Amino acid sequence: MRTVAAHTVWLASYPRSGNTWTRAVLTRLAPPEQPGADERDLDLNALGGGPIAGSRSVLDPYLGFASSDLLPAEVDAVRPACEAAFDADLDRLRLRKAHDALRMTRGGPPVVPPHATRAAVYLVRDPRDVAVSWAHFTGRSMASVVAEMADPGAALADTDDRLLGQARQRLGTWSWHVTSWTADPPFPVTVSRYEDLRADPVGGFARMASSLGLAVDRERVVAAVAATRFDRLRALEAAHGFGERSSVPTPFFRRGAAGGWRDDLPARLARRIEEDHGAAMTRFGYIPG
Amino acid sequence: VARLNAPVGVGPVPRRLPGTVHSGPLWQAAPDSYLFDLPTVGRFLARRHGDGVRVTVRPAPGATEADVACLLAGPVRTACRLLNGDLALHGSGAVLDGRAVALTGDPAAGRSTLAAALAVRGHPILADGALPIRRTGTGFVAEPADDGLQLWPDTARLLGLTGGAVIRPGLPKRHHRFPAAPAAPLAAVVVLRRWGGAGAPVPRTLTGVSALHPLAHCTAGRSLIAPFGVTAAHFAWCAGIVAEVPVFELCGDRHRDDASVLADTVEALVRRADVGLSTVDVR
Repeated sequence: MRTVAAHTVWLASYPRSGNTWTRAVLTRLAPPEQPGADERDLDLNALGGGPIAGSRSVLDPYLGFASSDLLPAEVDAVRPACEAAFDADLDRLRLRKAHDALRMTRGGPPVVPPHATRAAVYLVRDPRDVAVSWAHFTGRSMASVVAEMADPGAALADTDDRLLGQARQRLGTWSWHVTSWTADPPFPVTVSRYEDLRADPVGGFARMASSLGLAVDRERVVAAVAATRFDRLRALEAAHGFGERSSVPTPFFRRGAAGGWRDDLPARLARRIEEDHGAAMTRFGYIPG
Repeated sequence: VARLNAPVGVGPVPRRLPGTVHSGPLWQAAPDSYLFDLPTVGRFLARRHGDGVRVTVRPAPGATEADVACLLAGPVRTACRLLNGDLALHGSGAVLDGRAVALTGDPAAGRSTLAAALAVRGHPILADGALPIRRTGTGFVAEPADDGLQLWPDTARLLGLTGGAVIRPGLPKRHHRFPAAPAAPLAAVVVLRRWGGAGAPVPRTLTGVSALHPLAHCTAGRSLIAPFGVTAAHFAWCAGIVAEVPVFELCGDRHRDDASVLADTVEALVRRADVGLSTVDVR
Protein backbone atom coordinates (compact mmCIF):
# COMPACT_ATOMS: atom_id res chain seq x y z
CA MET A 1 0.00 0.00 0.00
CA ARG A 2 1.25 3.45 -0.87
CA THR A 3 2.22 5.48 2.21
CA VAL A 4 4.05 8.43 0.61
CA ALA A 5 2.16 11.41 -0.78
CA ALA A 6 2.16 11.70 -4.54
CA HIS A 7 4.50 14.24 -6.12
CA THR A 8 2.78 14.71 -9.48
CA VAL A 9 0.73 17.80 -10.25
CA TRP A 10 -0.93 17.64 -13.64
CA LEU A 11 -1.24 20.82 -15.67
CA ALA A 12 -4.07 19.74 -17.90
CA SER A 13 -5.68 21.49 -20.81
CA TYR A 14 -6.95 21.13 -24.31
CA PRO A 15 -3.99 21.99 -26.59
CA ARG A 16 -3.14 25.68 -27.08
CA SER A 17 -4.84 26.80 -23.88
CA GLY A 18 -1.89 28.34 -22.05
CA ASN A 19 -0.47 25.14 -20.61
CA THR A 20 3.18 25.84 -21.41
CA TRP A 21 3.03 29.42 -20.18
CA THR A 22 1.43 28.25 -16.92
CA ARG A 23 4.05 25.54 -16.55
CA ALA A 24 6.77 28.14 -17.07
CA VAL A 25 5.37 30.39 -14.33
CA LEU A 26 4.81 27.53 -11.88
CA THR A 27 8.29 26.21 -12.59
CA ARG A 28 9.58 29.59 -11.38
CA LEU A 29 7.34 29.38 -8.31
CA ALA A 30 8.19 25.82 -7.31
CA PRO A 31 11.11 25.36 -4.93
CA PRO A 32 14.30 25.58 -7.04
CA GLU A 33 16.01 22.27 -7.68
CA GLN A 34 19.39 23.90 -7.13
CA PRO A 35 20.36 27.05 -5.25
CA GLY A 36 20.42 30.04 -7.56
CA ALA A 37 18.19 28.43 -10.20
CA ASP A 38 15.75 31.31 -9.79
CA GLU A 39 18.26 33.76 -11.15
CA ARG A 40 19.04 31.84 -14.28
CA ASP A 41 17.11 31.98 -17.55
CA LEU A 42 14.22 29.59 -17.76
CA ASP A 43 15.03 26.33 -19.55
CA LEU A 44 12.07 25.87 -21.88
CA ASN A 45 13.02 22.25 -22.44
CA ALA A 46 12.89 21.31 -18.77
CA LEU A 47 9.68 22.98 -17.65
CA GLY A 48 8.23 21.37 -14.57
CA GLY A 49 10.76 18.59 -14.56
CA GLY A 50 8.63 15.89 -16.05
CA PRO A 51 7.50 14.65 -19.45
CA ILE A 52 3.98 15.01 -20.82
CA ALA A 53 1.42 12.37 -19.87
CA GLY A 54 1.73 9.59 -22.42
CA SER A 55 5.42 10.16 -23.13
CA ARG A 56 7.19 7.00 -24.19
CA SER A 57 10.09 8.12 -22.00
CA VAL A 58 7.82 7.25 -19.07
CA LEU A 59 6.16 4.20 -20.59
CA ASP A 60 9.12 2.27 -21.97
CA PRO A 61 11.41 2.20 -18.92
CA TYR A 62 8.64 1.01 -16.63
CA LEU A 63 7.32 -1.53 -19.11
CA GLY A 64 10.86 -2.77 -19.68
CA PHE A 65 10.34 -2.90 -23.45
CA ALA A 66 9.23 -0.70 -26.31
CA SER A 67 5.66 0.49 -25.92
CA SER A 68 5.59 0.51 -29.72
CA ASP A 69 5.21 -3.29 -29.46
CA LEU A 70 1.76 -2.70 -27.97
CA LEU A 71 -1.48 -1.87 -29.76
CA PRO A 72 -2.98 1.55 -28.94
CA ALA A 73 -5.70 0.06 -26.71
CA GLU A 74 -3.06 -1.93 -24.80
CA VAL A 75 -1.04 1.26 -24.28
CA ASP A 76 -4.14 3.07 -23.04
CA ALA A 77 -4.73 0.30 -20.51
CA VAL A 78 -1.21 0.30 -19.12
CA ARG A 79 -0.58 4.05 -19.04
CA PRO A 80 -1.97 4.73 -15.53
CA ALA A 81 0.25 2.02 -14.04
CA CYS A 82 3.33 3.47 -15.76
CA GLU A 83 2.48 6.98 -14.58
CA ALA A 84 2.02 5.66 -11.04
CA ALA A 85 5.40 3.92 -11.18
CA PHE A 86 7.00 7.14 -12.41
CA ASP A 87 5.43 9.09 -9.55
CA ALA A 88 6.60 6.52 -7.00
CA ASP A 89 10.19 7.20 -8.03
CA LEU A 90 9.89 10.97 -7.56
CA ASP A 91 11.33 12.72 -4.54
CA ARG A 92 9.97 16.21 -5.22
CA LEU A 93 7.06 18.00 -6.82
CA ARG A 94 6.78 17.59 -10.58
CA LEU A 95 4.53 19.71 -12.77
CA ARG A 96 3.56 17.60 -15.76
CA LYS A 97 1.59 18.57 -18.81
CA ALA A 98 -1.44 16.52 -19.82
CA HIS A 99 -3.51 17.00 -22.96
CA ASP A 100 -5.68 13.89 -22.66
CA ALA A 101 -9.28 14.10 -21.61
CA LEU A 102 -9.29 12.77 -18.06
CA ARG A 103 -11.82 10.08 -18.98
CA MET A 104 -13.38 9.05 -22.27
CA THR A 105 -16.76 8.11 -20.79
CA ARG A 106 -18.69 9.19 -17.73
CA GLY A 107 -17.45 7.01 -14.90
CA GLY A 108 -14.76 5.50 -17.12
CA PRO A 109 -11.22 4.98 -15.91
CA PRO A 110 -9.08 8.12 -15.59
CA VAL A 111 -6.05 8.31 -17.87
CA VAL A 112 -3.83 9.40 -14.98
CA PRO A 113 -3.80 7.48 -11.70
CA PRO A 114 -5.69 9.25 -8.89
CA HIS A 115 -3.64 7.53 -6.16
CA ALA A 116 -0.43 8.87 -7.73
CA THR A 117 -1.69 12.39 -8.30
CA ARG A 118 -1.32 15.17 -5.76
CA ALA A 119 -3.51 17.63 -7.60
CA ALA A 120 -4.21 19.11 -11.00
CA VAL A 121 -4.64 22.51 -12.55
CA TYR A 122 -7.08 22.61 -15.43
CA LEU A 123 -6.77 25.51 -17.83
CA VAL A 124 -9.74 26.46 -19.92
CA ARG A 125 -9.55 28.94 -22.80
CA ASP A 126 -12.17 30.38 -25.12
CA PRO A 127 -12.46 27.67 -27.79
CA ARG A 128 -12.62 30.31 -30.50
CA ASP A 129 -9.09 31.42 -29.52
CA VAL A 130 -8.03 27.80 -29.19
CA ALA A 131 -9.13 27.15 -32.76
CA VAL A 132 -7.10 30.05 -34.15
CA SER A 133 -3.98 29.11 -32.19
CA TRP A 134 -4.33 25.39 -32.99
CA ALA A 135 -4.65 26.13 -36.69
CA HIS A 136 -1.50 28.28 -36.67
CA PHE A 137 0.40 25.70 -34.62
CA THR A 138 -0.46 22.78 -36.87
CA GLY A 139 -0.51 24.60 -40.19
CA ARG A 140 -4.06 23.37 -40.83
CA SER A 141 -7.15 25.24 -41.91
CA MET A 142 -9.33 26.75 -39.21
CA ALA A 143 -12.30 24.83 -40.59
CA SER A 144 -10.57 21.50 -40.08
CA VAL A 145 -9.52 22.44 -36.56
CA VAL A 146 -13.06 23.55 -35.68
CA ALA A 147 -14.37 20.23 -36.99
CA GLU A 148 -11.78 18.33 -34.94
CA MET A 149 -12.82 20.20 -31.79
CA ALA A 150 -16.29 18.69 -32.24
CA ASP A 151 -15.04 15.18 -33.04
CA PRO A 152 -15.46 12.67 -30.16
CA GLY A 153 -12.64 10.59 -31.67
CA ALA A 154 -10.09 13.40 -31.79
CA ALA A 155 -6.66 12.46 -30.47
CA LEU A 156 -3.07 13.63 -30.48
CA ALA A 157 -0.15 11.50 -31.65
CA ASP A 158 -2.59 9.15 -33.35
CA THR A 159 -0.76 7.98 -36.45
CA ASP A 160 -0.05 4.66 -38.13
CA ASP A 161 2.76 6.10 -40.21
CA ARG A 162 5.55 6.89 -37.80
CA LEU A 163 6.74 6.33 -34.28
CA LEU A 164 6.26 9.38 -32.12
CA GLY A 165 7.77 10.08 -28.72
CA GLN A 166 4.27 10.23 -27.26
CA ALA A 167 1.60 7.59 -27.24
CA ARG A 168 -1.91 8.42 -28.43
CA GLN A 169 -3.66 11.01 -26.29
CA ARG A 170 -7.43 11.04 -26.68
CA LEU A 171 -9.00 14.48 -26.51
CA GLY A 172 -12.64 13.90 -27.35
CA THR A 173 -14.53 17.06 -28.15
CA TRP A 174 -13.51 20.37 -26.59
CA SER A 175 -16.69 20.31 -24.50
CA TRP A 176 -16.05 16.75 -23.32
CA HIS A 177 -12.44 17.60 -22.51
CA VAL A 178 -13.51 20.45 -20.24
CA THR A 179 -16.21 18.34 -18.62
CA SER A 180 -13.95 15.35 -18.03
CA TRP A 181 -11.51 17.40 -15.95
CA THR A 182 -13.93 19.67 -14.13
CA ALA A 183 -16.98 17.53 -13.28
CA ASP A 184 -16.37 15.40 -10.20
CA PRO A 185 -12.65 14.71 -10.66
CA PRO A 186 -11.07 12.02 -8.45
CA PHE A 187 -8.43 14.40 -7.07
CA PRO A 188 -8.30 18.13 -6.30
CA VAL A 189 -8.48 20.20 -9.48
CA THR A 190 -7.96 23.96 -9.60
CA VAL A 191 -9.76 25.36 -12.63
CA SER A 192 -8.40 28.57 -14.15
CA ARG A 193 -9.54 30.51 -17.17
CA TYR A 194 -6.68 31.52 -19.44
CA GLU A 195 -8.30 34.92 -19.96
CA ASP A 196 -8.32 35.60 -16.21
CA LEU A 197 -4.67 34.68 -15.93
CA ARG A 198 -3.78 37.03 -18.79
CA ALA A 199 -5.79 39.84 -17.19
CA ASP A 200 -4.31 39.43 -13.71
CA PRO A 201 -1.35 37.07 -13.88
CA VAL A 202 0.06 37.94 -10.48
CA GLY A 203 -3.22 37.43 -8.66
CA GLY A 204 -4.15 34.37 -10.68
CA PHE A 205 -0.85 32.56 -10.28
CA ALA A 206 -0.64 33.48 -6.59
CA ARG A 207 -4.00 31.79 -6.06
CA MET A 208 -2.96 28.84 -8.18
CA ALA A 209 0.30 28.41 -6.29
CA SER A 210 -1.53 28.63 -2.99
CA SER A 211 -4.01 25.94 -4.09
CA LEU A 212 -1.05 23.67 -4.84
CA GLY A 213 0.55 24.30 -1.47
CA LEU A 214 3.46 26.30 -2.87
CA ALA A 215 4.54 28.85 -0.29
CA VAL A 216 5.31 31.96 -2.34
CA ASP A 217 5.21 35.66 -1.59
CA ARG A 218 3.91 38.31 -3.95
CA GLU A 219 7.41 39.48 -4.95
CA ARG A 220 8.26 36.00 -6.17
CA VAL A 221 5.07 35.80 -8.22
CA VAL A 222 5.76 39.22 -9.75
CA ALA A 223 9.28 38.08 -10.68
CA ALA A 224 7.99 34.79 -12.13
CA VAL A 225 5.39 36.55 -14.25
CA ALA A 226 7.99 39.04 -15.48
CA ALA A 227 10.42 36.23 -16.36
CA THR A 228 7.75 34.47 -18.44
CA ARG A 229 6.33 37.35 -20.43
CA PHE A 230 5.52 36.22 -23.99
CA ASP A 231 8.27 38.34 -25.50
CA ARG A 232 10.77 36.63 -23.18
CA LEU A 233 9.46 33.16 -23.97
CA ARG A 234 9.63 33.96 -27.68
CA ALA A 235 13.23 35.18 -27.27
CA LEU A 236 14.18 32.01 -25.38
CA GLU A 237 12.59 29.88 -28.09
CA ALA A 238 14.47 31.80 -30.80
CA ALA A 239 17.77 31.50 -28.93
CA HIS A 240 17.63 27.91 -27.71
CA GLY A 241 14.87 26.17 -29.66
CA PHE A 242 11.92 24.44 -28.07
CA GLY A 243 11.37 20.72 -28.26
CA GLU A 244 7.59 21.04 -28.17
CA ARG A 245 7.26 23.09 -31.31
CA SER A 246 5.40 21.54 -34.23
CA SER A 247 6.72 20.73 -37.69
CA VAL A 248 5.27 24.01 -38.95
CA PRO A 249 7.96 26.70 -39.09
CA THR A 250 6.10 29.12 -36.82
CA PRO A 251 7.07 29.94 -33.25
CA PHE A 252 5.46 27.88 -30.48
CA PHE A 253 4.83 31.10 -28.57
CA ARG A 254 2.76 33.11 -31.05
CA ARG A 255 0.59 35.87 -29.55
CA GLY A 256 -0.90 34.50 -26.39
CA ALA A 257 -3.66 37.06 -26.68
CA ALA A 258 -7.14 36.68 -25.27
CA GLY A 259 -9.95 37.49 -27.70
CA GLY A 260 -7.78 37.48 -30.81
CA TRP A 261 -10.35 35.26 -32.53
CA ARG A 262 -12.39 38.38 -33.27
CA ASP A 263 -9.72 39.40 -35.78
CA ASP A 264 -8.77 36.00 -37.14
CA LEU A 265 -11.69 33.56 -37.01
CA PRO A 266 -14.32 33.73 -39.78
CA ALA A 267 -17.76 34.49 -38.34
CA ARG A 268 -19.28 31.25 -39.62
CA LEU A 269 -16.64 29.22 -37.77
CA ALA A 270 -17.16 31.23 -34.60
CA ARG A 271 -20.89 30.44 -34.85
CA ARG A 272 -20.12 26.77 -35.44
CA ILE A 273 -18.02 26.64 -32.26
CA GLU A 274 -20.75 28.38 -30.28
CA GLU A 275 -23.30 25.85 -31.57
CA ASP A 276 -21.04 22.86 -30.90
CA HIS A 277 -19.91 23.90 -27.42
CA GLY A 278 -22.61 26.28 -26.21
CA ALA A 279 -23.26 24.64 -22.86
CA ALA A 280 -19.60 24.49 -21.81
CA MET A 281 -18.91 27.99 -23.18
CA THR A 282 -21.80 29.37 -21.18
CA ARG A 283 -20.59 27.59 -18.07
CA PHE A 284 -17.24 29.34 -18.33
CA GLY A 285 -18.64 32.71 -19.34
CA TYR A 286 -17.55 32.78 -22.97
CA ILE A 287 -21.09 33.30 -24.24
CA PRO A 288 -24.15 34.50 -22.37
CA GLY A 289 -26.49 31.89 -21.01
CA VAL B 1 11.85 -17.29 -31.74
CA ALA B 2 15.24 -16.55 -33.21
CA ARG B 3 18.07 -16.12 -30.72
CA LEU B 4 15.95 -16.26 -27.58
CA ASN B 5 18.60 -18.66 -26.29
CA ALA B 6 16.07 -20.39 -24.07
CA PRO B 7 13.72 -23.32 -24.68
CA VAL B 8 10.07 -22.27 -24.90
CA GLY B 9 7.09 -24.43 -24.00
CA VAL B 10 3.35 -23.91 -23.70
CA GLY B 11 1.88 -24.63 -20.29
CA PRO B 12 0.26 -23.22 -17.18
CA VAL B 13 1.66 -19.94 -15.87
CA PRO B 14 0.58 -18.57 -12.48
CA ARG B 15 -0.95 -15.14 -12.14
CA ARG B 16 1.33 -14.36 -9.21
CA LEU B 17 5.04 -15.04 -9.12
CA PRO B 18 6.13 -16.60 -5.81
CA GLY B 19 8.98 -14.73 -4.15
CA THR B 20 8.37 -11.50 -6.08
CA VAL B 21 10.78 -8.79 -4.94
CA HIS B 22 9.88 -6.15 -7.50
CA SER B 23 7.04 -5.57 -9.91
CA GLY B 24 5.96 -3.09 -12.51
CA PRO B 25 3.23 -2.60 -15.06
CA LEU B 26 2.69 -6.04 -16.65
CA TRP B 27 5.57 -7.81 -14.86
CA GLN B 28 6.79 -9.35 -11.63
CA ALA B 29 10.38 -10.31 -10.84
CA ALA B 30 11.93 -12.69 -8.31
CA PRO B 31 15.67 -13.37 -8.03
CA ASP B 32 15.45 -16.36 -10.36
CA SER B 33 12.34 -15.72 -12.39
CA TYR B 34 10.23 -13.25 -14.33
CA LEU B 35 6.52 -13.22 -15.06
CA PHE B 36 5.08 -11.06 -17.82
CA ASP B 37 1.31 -10.72 -18.20
CA LEU B 38 -0.35 -8.89 -21.07
CA PRO B 39 -4.00 -9.96 -20.88
CA THR B 40 -4.57 -9.62 -24.62
CA VAL B 41 -1.56 -11.79 -25.53
CA GLY B 42 -0.80 -14.10 -22.62
CA ARG B 43 1.35 -14.85 -19.61
CA PHE B 44 5.04 -15.65 -19.91
CA LEU B 45 7.26 -17.17 -17.23
CA ALA B 46 11.06 -17.19 -17.55
CA ARG B 47 12.81 -19.15 -14.83
CA ARG B 48 16.49 -19.85 -14.24
CA HIS B 49 17.32 -23.53 -13.72
CA GLY B 50 20.64 -25.25 -13.20
CA ASP B 51 21.09 -25.69 -16.92
CA GLY B 52 19.91 -22.27 -18.02
CA VAL B 53 16.70 -20.31 -18.44
CA ARG B 54 13.44 -21.89 -19.62
CA VAL B 55 10.33 -20.07 -20.78
CA THR B 56 6.71 -21.16 -20.39
CA VAL B 57 3.91 -19.42 -22.27
CA ARG B 58 0.18 -19.47 -21.65
CA PRO B 59 -1.29 -17.70 -24.69
CA ALA B 60 -4.49 -15.72 -24.21
CA PRO B 61 -7.55 -16.78 -26.19
CA GLY B 62 -7.43 -15.01 -29.52
CA ALA B 63 -3.73 -14.21 -29.40
CA THR B 64 -1.87 -15.02 -32.60
CA GLU B 65 1.50 -16.70 -32.91
CA ALA B 66 2.86 -13.34 -34.07
CA ASP B 67 1.52 -11.63 -30.92
CA VAL B 68 3.25 -14.19 -28.74
CA ALA B 69 6.48 -14.12 -30.76
CA CYS B 70 6.65 -10.32 -30.54
CA LEU B 71 6.51 -10.37 -26.75
CA LEU B 72 8.92 -13.29 -26.55
CA ALA B 73 11.40 -11.32 -28.65
CA GLY B 74 10.92 -8.17 -26.56
CA PRO B 75 10.49 -8.19 -22.78
CA VAL B 76 10.90 -11.95 -22.32
CA ARG B 77 14.16 -12.08 -24.26
CA THR B 78 15.50 -9.15 -22.22
CA ALA B 79 14.62 -10.94 -18.99
CA CYS B 80 16.22 -14.18 -20.18
CA ARG B 81 19.44 -12.34 -20.96
CA LEU B 82 19.54 -10.72 -17.55
CA LEU B 83 18.73 -13.99 -15.78
CA ASN B 84 21.83 -15.34 -17.52
CA GLY B 85 23.82 -12.32 -16.33
CA ASP B 86 24.16 -10.86 -19.84
CA LEU B 87 23.71 -7.12 -20.36
CA ALA B 88 22.48 -5.21 -23.38
CA LEU B 89 21.80 -1.63 -24.39
CA HIS B 90 18.36 -0.59 -25.61
CA GLY B 91 18.67 0.19 -29.26
CA SER B 92 20.31 -1.11 -32.36
CA GLY B 93 23.77 -2.07 -33.53
CA ALA B 94 25.60 -2.17 -36.84
CA VAL B 95 29.08 -3.11 -37.96
CA LEU B 96 31.15 -0.69 -40.01
CA ASP B 97 34.41 -2.04 -41.41
CA GLY B 98 34.55 -4.74 -38.77
CA ARG B 99 33.82 -2.40 -35.88
CA ALA B 100 30.53 -2.21 -34.02
CA VAL B 101 28.57 0.89 -33.15
CA ALA B 102 25.80 0.85 -30.56
CA LEU B 103 22.88 3.18 -31.27
CA THR B 104 20.98 3.87 -28.07
CA GLY B 105 18.98 6.76 -26.59
CA ASP B 106 15.46 7.90 -25.90
CA PRO B 107 12.37 6.09 -27.17
CA ALA B 108 11.48 7.29 -30.68
CA ALA B 109 14.90 8.94 -31.02
CA GLY B 110 15.45 7.17 -34.33
CA ARG B 111 17.71 4.27 -33.32
CA SER B 112 16.22 1.78 -35.78
CA THR B 113 15.94 4.44 -38.47
CA LEU B 114 19.62 5.27 -38.17
CA ALA B 115 20.53 1.57 -38.17
CA ALA B 116 18.45 1.15 -41.33
CA ALA B 117 20.18 4.11 -42.96
CA LEU B 118 23.49 2.40 -42.21
CA ALA B 119 22.17 -0.97 -43.43
CA VAL B 120 21.11 0.35 -46.84
CA ARG B 121 24.68 1.64 -47.21
CA GLY B 122 25.86 -1.94 -46.84
CA HIS B 123 26.74 -2.05 -43.15
CA PRO B 124 25.44 -5.30 -41.64
CA ILE B 125 23.14 -5.30 -38.64
CA LEU B 126 23.79 -6.73 -35.18
CA ALA B 127 20.58 -6.06 -33.32
CA ASP B 128 17.37 -4.09 -33.09
CA GLY B 129 15.65 -3.42 -29.79
CA ALA B 130 18.54 -4.47 -27.56
CA LEU B 131 22.23 -4.88 -28.39
CA PRO B 132 24.09 -7.42 -26.20
CA ILE B 133 27.54 -6.20 -25.20
CA ARG B 134 29.99 -8.54 -23.52
CA ARG B 135 33.34 -7.82 -21.90
CA THR B 136 36.08 -10.09 -23.26
CA GLY B 137 39.79 -10.38 -22.62
CA THR B 138 40.43 -7.95 -25.46
CA GLY B 139 37.71 -5.42 -24.74
CA PHE B 140 33.98 -4.98 -25.22
CA VAL B 141 32.33 -6.93 -28.01
CA ALA B 142 28.87 -6.31 -29.45
CA GLU B 143 27.05 -9.54 -30.24
CA PRO B 144 24.49 -10.40 -32.89
CA ALA B 145 20.86 -10.68 -31.83
CA ASP B 146 18.68 -9.97 -34.87
CA ASP B 147 18.71 -10.31 -38.63
CA GLY B 148 16.67 -7.25 -39.42
CA LEU B 149 15.07 -4.04 -38.22
CA GLN B 150 11.55 -3.04 -37.20
CA LEU B 151 10.67 0.02 -39.26
CA TRP B 152 7.62 2.27 -39.43
CA PRO B 153 6.14 3.15 -42.81
CA ASP B 154 7.69 6.64 -42.90
CA THR B 155 11.18 5.24 -42.43
CA ALA B 156 10.68 2.47 -44.99
CA ARG B 157 9.45 5.07 -47.46
CA LEU B 158 12.37 7.37 -46.74
CA LEU B 159 14.85 4.58 -47.40
CA GLY B 160 13.04 3.15 -50.42
CA LEU B 161 12.16 -0.13 -48.69
CA THR B 162 9.02 -2.06 -49.55
CA GLY B 163 7.27 -5.08 -48.10
CA GLY B 164 8.49 -6.28 -44.75
CA ALA B 165 7.01 -8.94 -42.47
CA VAL B 166 4.11 -8.37 -40.10
CA ILE B 167 5.33 -8.18 -36.50
CA ARG B 168 1.93 -8.21 -34.80
CA PRO B 169 -1.45 -7.94 -36.48
CA GLY B 170 -2.52 -4.35 -35.91
CA LEU B 171 0.99 -2.93 -35.62
CA PRO B 172 1.97 -0.78 -38.58
CA LYS B 173 5.71 -1.32 -38.20
CA ARG B 174 7.25 -4.12 -40.24
CA HIS B 175 10.29 -6.35 -39.92
CA HIS B 176 12.78 -5.69 -42.74
CA ARG B 177 15.51 -8.25 -43.16
CA PHE B 178 19.11 -7.07 -43.62
CA PRO B 179 22.46 -8.88 -43.76
CA ALA B 180 23.44 -9.87 -40.24
CA ALA B 181 26.87 -9.18 -38.83
CA PRO B 182 28.99 -11.45 -36.64
CA ALA B 183 30.17 -10.22 -33.23
CA ALA B 184 32.52 -7.25 -33.50
CA PRO B 185 34.59 -5.10 -31.17
CA LEU B 186 32.60 -2.14 -29.89
CA ALA B 187 34.11 1.01 -31.41
CA ALA B 188 31.57 3.61 -30.27
CA VAL B 189 28.32 4.16 -28.42
CA VAL B 190 26.03 6.82 -29.87
CA VAL B 191 23.30 8.17 -27.60
CA LEU B 192 20.58 9.58 -29.84
CA ARG B 193 18.35 12.46 -28.83
CA ARG B 194 15.60 13.97 -30.90
CA TRP B 195 13.59 17.10 -30.36
CA GLY B 196 12.02 19.96 -32.24
CA GLY B 197 14.27 22.86 -33.16
CA ALA B 198 17.56 21.01 -32.99
CA GLY B 199 20.18 22.34 -35.36
CA ALA B 200 22.38 20.26 -37.63
CA PRO B 201 23.45 17.11 -35.77
CA VAL B 202 26.88 17.55 -34.19
CA PRO B 203 28.29 14.80 -31.99
CA ARG B 204 29.21 15.70 -28.46
CA THR B 205 31.69 13.54 -26.59
CA LEU B 206 30.37 12.29 -23.26
CA THR B 207 32.78 11.37 -20.50
CA GLY B 208 32.56 10.34 -16.86
CA VAL B 209 29.17 10.63 -15.25
CA SER B 210 27.68 12.31 -18.32
CA ALA B 211 28.44 9.09 -20.23
CA LEU B 212 27.69 6.70 -17.38
CA HIS B 213 24.19 8.05 -16.81
CA PRO B 214 22.79 7.43 -20.30
CA LEU B 215 24.37 3.98 -20.43
CA ALA B 216 22.78 3.02 -17.12
CA HIS B 217 19.48 4.59 -18.16
CA CYS B 218 19.47 2.87 -21.56
CA THR B 219 20.36 -0.59 -20.28
CA ALA B 220 17.77 -3.07 -21.51
CA GLY B 221 15.56 -4.30 -18.67
CA ARG B 222 16.89 -1.69 -16.24
CA SER B 223 14.14 -2.37 -13.72
CA LEU B 224 15.13 -6.04 -13.53
CA ILE B 225 18.78 -5.45 -12.68
CA ALA B 226 18.30 -5.17 -8.92
CA PRO B 227 15.80 -8.04 -8.50
CA PHE B 228 18.02 -10.35 -10.55
CA GLY B 229 21.05 -9.43 -8.41
CA VAL B 230 23.25 -8.03 -11.17
CA THR B 231 23.58 -4.47 -9.84
CA ALA B 232 27.33 -4.65 -9.24
CA ALA B 233 27.96 -6.35 -12.57
CA HIS B 234 25.85 -3.71 -14.29
CA PHE B 235 27.79 -0.86 -12.73
CA ALA B 236 31.10 -2.46 -13.68
CA TRP B 237 29.81 -3.01 -17.23
CA CYS B 238 28.72 0.63 -17.63
CA ALA B 239 31.91 1.97 -16.09
CA GLY B 240 34.03 -0.31 -18.24
CA ILE B 241 32.34 0.83 -21.44
CA VAL B 242 32.78 4.48 -20.44
CA ALA B 243 36.46 3.86 -19.71
CA GLU B 244 37.23 1.93 -22.89
CA VAL B 245 34.76 2.98 -25.59
CA PRO B 246 34.03 6.51 -26.87
CA VAL B 247 30.49 7.61 -26.04
CA PHE B 248 28.82 10.37 -28.06
CA GLU B 249 25.56 12.21 -27.87
CA LEU B 250 23.99 13.01 -31.22
CA CYS B 251 20.90 15.21 -31.38
CA GLY B 252 18.63 15.16 -34.40
CA ASP B 253 15.55 17.18 -35.26
CA ARG B 254 12.33 15.23 -34.87
CA HIS B 255 10.73 17.26 -37.64
CA ARG B 256 13.47 16.60 -40.17
CA ASP B 257 14.35 13.47 -42.11
CA ASP B 258 18.03 13.65 -41.24
CA ALA B 259 18.83 9.92 -41.19
CA SER B 260 21.33 10.33 -44.01
CA VAL B 261 23.19 13.13 -42.23
CA LEU B 262 23.20 11.11 -39.02
CA ALA B 263 24.53 8.08 -40.89
CA ASP B 264 27.33 10.21 -42.37
CA THR B 265 28.22 11.36 -38.86
CA VAL B 266 28.22 7.85 -37.41
CA GLU B 267 30.39 6.56 -40.25
CA ALA B 268 32.88 9.33 -39.53
CA LEU B 269 32.79 8.63 -35.79
CA VAL B 270 33.51 4.94 -36.18
CA ARG B 271 36.10 5.45 -38.90
CA ARG B 272 38.09 7.77 -36.69
CA ALA B 273 37.33 6.20 -33.33
CA ASP B 274 40.88 4.94 -32.92
CA VAL B 275 42.82 8.11 -33.71
CA GLY B 276 42.01 10.35 -30.77
CA LEU B 277 38.40 11.40 -30.96
CA SER B 278 38.73 14.43 -28.77
CA THR B 279 40.94 16.07 -31.40
CA VAL B 280 39.03 15.00 -34.48
CA ASP B 281 36.50 17.22 -36.18
CA VAL B 282 33.90 14.78 -37.40
CA ARG B 283 31.39 17.30 -38.68
